[in-house]
Amino acid sequence: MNIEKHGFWSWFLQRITALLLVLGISVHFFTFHFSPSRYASRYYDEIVQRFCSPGWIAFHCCLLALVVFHGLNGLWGILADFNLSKRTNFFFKQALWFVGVILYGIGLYILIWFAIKNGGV
Amino acid sequence: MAGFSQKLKEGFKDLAKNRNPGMLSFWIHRVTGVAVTIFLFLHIFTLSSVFRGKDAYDYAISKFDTKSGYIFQYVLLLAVAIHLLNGIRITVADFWGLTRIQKKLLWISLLVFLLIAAVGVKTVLW
Repeated sequence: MNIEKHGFWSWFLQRITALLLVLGISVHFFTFHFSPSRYASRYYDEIVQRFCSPGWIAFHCCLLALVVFHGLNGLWGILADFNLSKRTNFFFKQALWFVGVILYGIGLYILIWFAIKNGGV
Repeated sequence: MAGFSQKLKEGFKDLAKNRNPGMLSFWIHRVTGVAVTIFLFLHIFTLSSVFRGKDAYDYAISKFDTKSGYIFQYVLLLAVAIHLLNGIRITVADFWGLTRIQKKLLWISLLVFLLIAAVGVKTVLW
């Protein structure tokens, strides 16, 4: 990612979110995707029973924010390297923010849905 | 858009000309980054089936419990692992000024990646 074209905060936050995601994604992967009990743990009843505690919901709210920011900021970094016109750059920036907010909103709604089903949070 | 495809062509030319591990890792990092971001949309889309009820959600999840689903998840693991390890290498080199040993860090990343890939065969595909 080119820091001159992209701005300090975008570059800095990309690295900070990356470091946090190393921990977050590892926990998420080993719990839901690659642990011995992974197949059961992804189905509805198991999710409601085991993963709807306030701690897990909070963990996934943070993980979702990190991953959405990191992914879309990464795309923004790639686009910045294409030397697009100021207008196109502005358009992509707004579009990515819009997509990010919508994606985070849907993800958050899914988490809240599960939390309500459990009667927790 | 013409400038966009021109820049992309230049990038491929650069890769063809400079066939070194650093350039290759740069491209792999970008391609896996874009792929994993696209997967994030698919992930949210799959989970959103919960709005249609328990059965619809379990049905959507069960699609990943097939042979092709396991292969897909293994490829996902490889993409995330290579992006994550290369990302750690970039961050460590950036923050701690270790650009001089970045090649060595690349080989260490590759070694850890191969280890994860091997363990993944047993954990995901077996």
